[in-house]
Amino acid sequence: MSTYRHICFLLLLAAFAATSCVYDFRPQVDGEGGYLIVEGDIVVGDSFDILTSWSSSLVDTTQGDERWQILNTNKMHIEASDGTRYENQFSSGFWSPGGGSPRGHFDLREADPSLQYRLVLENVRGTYVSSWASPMSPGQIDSLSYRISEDRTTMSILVAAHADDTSESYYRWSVEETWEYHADVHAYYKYIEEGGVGQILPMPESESLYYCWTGSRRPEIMTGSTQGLVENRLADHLLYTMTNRDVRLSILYRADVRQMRIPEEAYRYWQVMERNSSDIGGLFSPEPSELRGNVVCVERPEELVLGYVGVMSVATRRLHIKNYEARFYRTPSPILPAPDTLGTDVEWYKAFRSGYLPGDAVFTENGDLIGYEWWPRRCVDCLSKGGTKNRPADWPNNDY
Amino acid sequence: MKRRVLLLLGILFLGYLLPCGAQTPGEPFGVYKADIDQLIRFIRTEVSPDVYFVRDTSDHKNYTIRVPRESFLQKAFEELRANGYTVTEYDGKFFLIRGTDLATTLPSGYFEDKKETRIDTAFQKYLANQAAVMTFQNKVYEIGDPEQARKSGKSTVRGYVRDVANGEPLAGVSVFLDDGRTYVQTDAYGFYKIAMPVGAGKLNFSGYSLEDLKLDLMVYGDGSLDVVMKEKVFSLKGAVISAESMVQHRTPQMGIEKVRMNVIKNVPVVFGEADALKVVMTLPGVKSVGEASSGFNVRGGSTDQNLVLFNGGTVYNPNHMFGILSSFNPDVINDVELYKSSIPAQYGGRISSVLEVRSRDGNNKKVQGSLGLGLLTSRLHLEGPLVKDRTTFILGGRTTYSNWIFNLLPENSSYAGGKASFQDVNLGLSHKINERNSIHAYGYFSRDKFSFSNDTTFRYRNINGSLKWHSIFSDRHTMTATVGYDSYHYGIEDRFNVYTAYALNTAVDQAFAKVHFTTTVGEDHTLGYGIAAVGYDLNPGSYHPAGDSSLVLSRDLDHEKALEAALYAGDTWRINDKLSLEAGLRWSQFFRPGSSRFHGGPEFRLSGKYSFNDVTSVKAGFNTMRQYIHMISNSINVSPTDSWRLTSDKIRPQTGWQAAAGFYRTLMDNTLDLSLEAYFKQVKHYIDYKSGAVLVMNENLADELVETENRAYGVELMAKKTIGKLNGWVSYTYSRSRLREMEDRGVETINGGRWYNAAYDKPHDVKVVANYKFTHRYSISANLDYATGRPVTIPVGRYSYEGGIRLVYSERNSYRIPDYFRLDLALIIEPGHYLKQLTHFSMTFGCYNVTGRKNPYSVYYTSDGYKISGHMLSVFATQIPYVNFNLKF
Repeated sequence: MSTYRHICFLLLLAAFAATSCVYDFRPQVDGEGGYLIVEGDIVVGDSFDILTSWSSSLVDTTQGDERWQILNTNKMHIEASDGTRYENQFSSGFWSPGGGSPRGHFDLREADPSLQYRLVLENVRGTYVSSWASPMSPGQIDSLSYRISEDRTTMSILVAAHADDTSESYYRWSVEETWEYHADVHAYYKYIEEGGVGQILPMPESESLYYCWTGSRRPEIMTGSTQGLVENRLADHLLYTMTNRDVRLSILYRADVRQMRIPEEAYRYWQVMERNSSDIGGLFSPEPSELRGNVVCVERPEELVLGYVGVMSVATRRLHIKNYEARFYRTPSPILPAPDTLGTDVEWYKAFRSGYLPGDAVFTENGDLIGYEWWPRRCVDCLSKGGTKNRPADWPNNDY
Repeated sequence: MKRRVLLLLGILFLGYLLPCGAQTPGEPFGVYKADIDQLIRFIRTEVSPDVYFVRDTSDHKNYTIRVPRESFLQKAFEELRANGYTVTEYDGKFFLIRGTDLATTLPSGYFEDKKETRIDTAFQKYLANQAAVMTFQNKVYEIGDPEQARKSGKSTVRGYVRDVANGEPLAGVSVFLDDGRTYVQTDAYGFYKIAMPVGAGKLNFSGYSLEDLKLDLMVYGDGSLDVVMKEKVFSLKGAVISAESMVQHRTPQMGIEKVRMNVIKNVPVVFGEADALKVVMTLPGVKSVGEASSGFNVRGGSTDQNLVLFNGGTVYNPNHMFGILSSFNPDVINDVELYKSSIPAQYGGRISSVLEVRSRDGNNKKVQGSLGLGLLTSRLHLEGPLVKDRTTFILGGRTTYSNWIFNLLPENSSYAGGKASFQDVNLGLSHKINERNSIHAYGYFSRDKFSFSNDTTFRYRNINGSLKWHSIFSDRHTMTATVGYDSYHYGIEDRFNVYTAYALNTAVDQAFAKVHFTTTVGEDHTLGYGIAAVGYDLNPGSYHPAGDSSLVLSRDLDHEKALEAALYAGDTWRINDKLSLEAGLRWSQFFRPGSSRFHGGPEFRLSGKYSFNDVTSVKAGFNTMRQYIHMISNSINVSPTDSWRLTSDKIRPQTGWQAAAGFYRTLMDNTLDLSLEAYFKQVKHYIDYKSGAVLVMNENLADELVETENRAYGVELMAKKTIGKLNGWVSYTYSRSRLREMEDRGVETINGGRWYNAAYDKPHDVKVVANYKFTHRYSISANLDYATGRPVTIPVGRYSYEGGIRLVYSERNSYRIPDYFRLDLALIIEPGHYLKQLTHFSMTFGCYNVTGRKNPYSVYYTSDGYKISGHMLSVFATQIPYVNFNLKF
């Protein structure tokens, strides 16, 4: 909860002021870039990626081309405490000028979970290592659920988790989400042009432009702990919230939740990262804290390296939210242009050339065809909103 | 024989314009349609000051006398006689009484071997039978027994100074001799004690907003003299020279700021509620991190380094509604006094400052009260005698009704469940056991509750209770003994998730006892000494499930208990007319059961003054301080999750010293005080936190903390005008306050072990507080505040990580928010001066932040994972008009 906004709001009410008291503002900063970032976790029992990058200045995002070149000299491997080396299997298919790669791909499916592991990264700047750790069992995801607020404006995604050992657990979750959406207008017809002659035909299911699928990764940092609880389990722990205007929830929403247990030190790291990005600047907000991960430059231990490379194994679980059950999504009334009803193939051709597509047919009261509604492509083609027509495997409905 | 003389003094006539201006000789001279008061006033001013009269309220005659100056007095007396007055002349003085003759001769033999001054006894007897209030400054009062009169040396004159209107003791009144060096101030009980040479002498009484008094005394030996003073009706023409403006030249102490409630009431503040703490913030050397911030910072010190005392008890959170208002009810406050440099040995336990807030004693003549109505709060206060002239009470209460604001909100807004409320109650009882002993009891309760949704509720409360016994053992020896109990409790209840719903409570409870003695030794030494002890019982955190479904494990951190005891002695030594010294030593000791280390040590307080002349002085001071209780916080403001912790094996006491020097000069007929003070200050073991520290419910809290040293220095320039139509002050401060981590923790060390700015380091600071009186009823006030923006830690870089955009922060406090500027204006309408009217109505109209400047509280970037946005939080981003009604009855 960002307390400051509440307080701010209260103060303003008290002052009878109508303006908001949080203003957009660009502080004058010199800008600092150039911290090495190592992102990813060592997942024992699975394959995974490690990514490297640089932080950039807030004010000057173009700086430091030569720094990015350094990443092409990266040579990464995973080291186990028994001396086993797991080499980087990533191949971009291109020749790398630095002889290395900013990205690493590792396969630890056969790795021994009782050993300790760490990441070793060498480049022209130096050698960077993450701290040794052995994987923690991820615990179990008991359930995933959603809860709709009383005023039906927000939906909370909740997790219940437990671990069998009795000590307190620290969890981190990451969520890959996939959702189905549709275009604003269902096109039942398609226009085909052959040799300057256009014709309108019924749209076959296989070519429908109405339903699309897309996905992304939740940007929230999701952590939780059972510290201070009677039992080593979390019930209805909030992962993230969505609003009733979020198009993800419009038809069918899928969340693939990955659960990891992490040591307390890592938990604190993630908490600080979360706080630094969301809960600062308010009246009672804690001051932002410096974030130092577990990756250290061997030659220059004082160098700030951003990122926490944990060692873990992962539990997964999937949640589906169907809007016809949840009845949560509120369709925003899209501002649609009035369609043109066009009856001649000359008009059709012209419209098609201008980026319009047919939607539905228009009839007289007697049932005689007048023509077809023509819409801008963005209104009828769901692909124009960034998705694909590839319905994911195991999708719970048969939309096309 | 020790005789007690109760004087009823006061000038009734000031405040009226003279009927005529001064005339050149030869021209017609006189008054036109002047009433009796105006006439007497005119005679005193223009002809002879030695005219005394007993007012007869039935005299409504208007006098018109226009004659040459030489014959004016004669003509006036004729007129007065014609109107039933008796004019009695004795020893060059004229006494006017309507209807009664005065005997100017006494039975023969009455004066044998006695002083001439007994002569007016008859007149005095007459006065004793009159209820009338008299102007009687030039009468001679006898002190001590003439039968056993000393031949030479000095005697002690002591007594109480009270308000003529209601009998309340007047604290901080300057009492001084004409020699320009003998000077004392009345204490909180209105008590004073001054050494006077035997024989005839003059004793002056002067206090801010009070009529000055000058009394003729004939001192035979030690004795007492109680005095009543009258609130000044502002003279619109010219200024009355007041000793208040000369205080700086008389005491060796420096860095003391005293503000009385009537000044406080004139300073415009947000929402118009007169507020003692907000006025303290307008003094040089006092800063806050921003608007609506609870704490204040004195000379580069942190907020927990201020000791806030209310009638002797410690108030840990003197704020309502996150700092919008202070928790001191303006109707019961008498004055506030801030010690920012020379802290008397009597006080200790905090590094930076002592803020003493004193409430008034109740009116000992009659029951009266007031009712106040503001935008956020309403107030009621009642006071009066329980037993006339012996036992008085004062009761004040405030409550807020800001909840109605929330009820205006639409139901589907996420603030619909929001609430904020507070109440506070003050009770004061004083009982005069006899002339030498009095007992005072004080009770204080305040509570706050606020929530922004139905899920989370914050609560805190202060309770203070104390009992004071003030005793005068002898003319040279007094004692004040105080016992009391202070309590501060804070709680958060979070029911967002029924399975993790919890209630978190923290508390500071303390019991204290202190005995303070003052003794006058010889003519030039005033000793103050005593003992003080505080027993602490802190609850650093108890965490409990809220509701039946909660899985939260009940957990209570061990209470922290300790005893802090101190023994101290100090001496104010008037070496000669020009030079005086104040030296003190305080030994404080901290006992913590189960702790293997003893903490304790000496504290030194030293200050000296050298006056070049009556209006020019220099001072220097040095003091050391120790602090055993610490507020642990990782926010810049005093926040709900802060907790207080005691010194332990792992947390060392904070220690600090301050050296200061100042130059003082008074100009313009003693109406304008200029001061320049410079200081350097160093504090060790000030507690800061490690990056990412967990401060709540942490058993091993000490591991999350780091010790820093603090170095602060500054120069404070101030011009202050206490009297006249225009009064107020202008100050400029240049100051720095920087911190450095003491231990080297390698890469983890804050800012690499270099000096960094404290969050309240605001180098340039200009403050203006001004009040201009057009007439006795109408005045305007202005308050101006400019300060350099405070340091912040802000994002300077960004990167993508785990699906979102994240921020890279600068080193701690290495940037600043934009500068702060604010101007407030207020129009104050005082009640009319109709004594017979039962109620008096006053109003204040004002506007806070007249220019509407959007002063930033903080600037920052946030990342919602997808994009980064820059923000500025401004607390009062617009003009805030207000109106406040007060009804006195």
